Amino acid sequence: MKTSIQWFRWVGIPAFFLVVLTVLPLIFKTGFMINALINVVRWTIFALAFDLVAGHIGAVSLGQPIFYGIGAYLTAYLASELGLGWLGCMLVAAVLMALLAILAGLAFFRIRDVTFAIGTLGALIVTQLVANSAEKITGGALCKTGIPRPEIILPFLAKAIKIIQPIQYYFLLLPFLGFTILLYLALTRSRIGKAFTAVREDEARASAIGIYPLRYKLVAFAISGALIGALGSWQAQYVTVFCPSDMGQDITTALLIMVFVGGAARLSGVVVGAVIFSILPPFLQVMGSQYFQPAYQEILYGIILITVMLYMPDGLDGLAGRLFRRFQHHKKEGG
Amino acid sequence: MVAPYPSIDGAPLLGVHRLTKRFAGVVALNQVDLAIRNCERVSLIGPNGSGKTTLFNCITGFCRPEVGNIQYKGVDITHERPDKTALRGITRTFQNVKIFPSLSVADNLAVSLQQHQEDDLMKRILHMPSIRALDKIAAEKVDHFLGMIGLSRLRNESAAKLVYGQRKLLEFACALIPDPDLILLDEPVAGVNTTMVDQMKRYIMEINEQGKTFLIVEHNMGVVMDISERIIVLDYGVKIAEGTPAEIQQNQRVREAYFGR
Repeated sequence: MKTSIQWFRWVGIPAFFLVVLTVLPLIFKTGFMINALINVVRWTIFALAFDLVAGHIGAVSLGQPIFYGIGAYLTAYLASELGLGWLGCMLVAAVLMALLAILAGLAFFRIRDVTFAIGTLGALIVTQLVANSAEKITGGALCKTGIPRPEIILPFLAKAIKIIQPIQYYFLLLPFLGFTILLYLALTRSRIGKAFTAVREDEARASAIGIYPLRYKLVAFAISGALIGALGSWQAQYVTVFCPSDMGQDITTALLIMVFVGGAARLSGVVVGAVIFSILPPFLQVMGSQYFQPAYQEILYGIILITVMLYMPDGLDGLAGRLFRRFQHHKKEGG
Repeated sequence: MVAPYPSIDGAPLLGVHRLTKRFAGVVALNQVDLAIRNCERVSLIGPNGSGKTTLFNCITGFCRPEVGNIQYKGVDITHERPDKTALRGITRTFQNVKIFPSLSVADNLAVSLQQHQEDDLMKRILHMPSIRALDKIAAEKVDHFLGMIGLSRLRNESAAKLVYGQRKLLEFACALIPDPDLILLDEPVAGVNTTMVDQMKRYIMEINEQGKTFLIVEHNMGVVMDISERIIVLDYGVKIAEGTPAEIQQNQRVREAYFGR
């Protein structure tokens, strides 16, 4: 019984999620729907990558948008100046952001907890300032424009397919989400996942059983950086314009709320958090509610985050699990 | 040149030579020498603040001594990281019980073994057949140790649900599962009931008979006298006595350290 529930949780739910995401845009083809789905997929990838570090290692890095931004600027350069294809750009961004994460991790993992969070936030602010002032490379506050759109060359087609429509971009991004989920599961459901938990819960104890905490932190940080870097590369090719404000702290706030309200270090929790909080703001704005303008949204997010941290530290996923167990317990007693 | 270890028959498994550790000017260990032979049960005693846990921390790589060296099986491990020391075959428990609360009881044991079995990240990610074979071996060992400490029925429960005594037993089993040669126990019977004290004593004696070496920090003198072949006494970071339980009981300096002049 337990195994089948676990199987459903770890394989069934992600597979169902991916199938729904594949079918939905084929049924509802409105621009609003496609944009909402792109938001869901993009934020789910971002949140899963963020959770590898914040949830599994317990190192709440507020600087993850750095990899997103540099991945995007890198793509702008590689695609426009060197003519590298879309997939090549994503791969190069992933590899370089993994290397950057390792270098940054060697410095930042010397500090921990709140100091680590503030340190990484500081790094994000500095990176944004640099992006603003390095006008020759990034276009500064006027943004980097003219990033080429992807072209797909298939052997049986004489002409390359230029990716222009949002739905085409969506189907480029969806396999990336599938890969991210697979990688997330492979990492967290393996011996590496147990080592991650050990490092998060007690570094001294982890060391005493032969685990080198820094190594596992760097592994999580590098993979997270690589995924976010590749996502930044996709984003740059999608919008064809990238500004320093696109790698702002609002991304970090959204990631915090998605991961911790959904349920940190749990695939289903992170996915639920990402889906809810990527759909909710545009949906409410479309509904015309004046209370969900960006300024109010930040305040609301802050209140939700504090409330969840205090009263529901394992998030919606933990709450659902407790309710399910209580229901089963009552059913057993009743039966 | 490293001076010879204190006069003990046979090559020591662990040798600590002239070890000195200071914390902001306070000398926690002062020129401590000791040698532990294979299959011995040695207790380390002394009043609070005498440097026992600091010595444990230095041996297991959690503290870096300023002076002196530590040799394990003839290899200098003085400045090794704790994880490397553990992989050499020195495992330990902590004064304040340390387990991983969000892992299940069985996973606490499994994670304590896995790093000793292999260390290949790619094979782990791809869940290769060799990893599955090791998982099977690990599961058998986990079953064995759960049975030994009587926690089999709680194997899938979160370790956070265990009571203090059960946590102590789990931490103890976690130190044993990688099949180490030297086990350092920091107050293994502190705060547990008399039944569990007897249980723990029995485990130590039985496992020692299987060829494992124990170095134990303990304040319960009854337990120390019962299980130790040899006792080393520290006071203010200095080794003040060493001998059999009977010799230590008669030692005037030890009495003064505990009860004053």
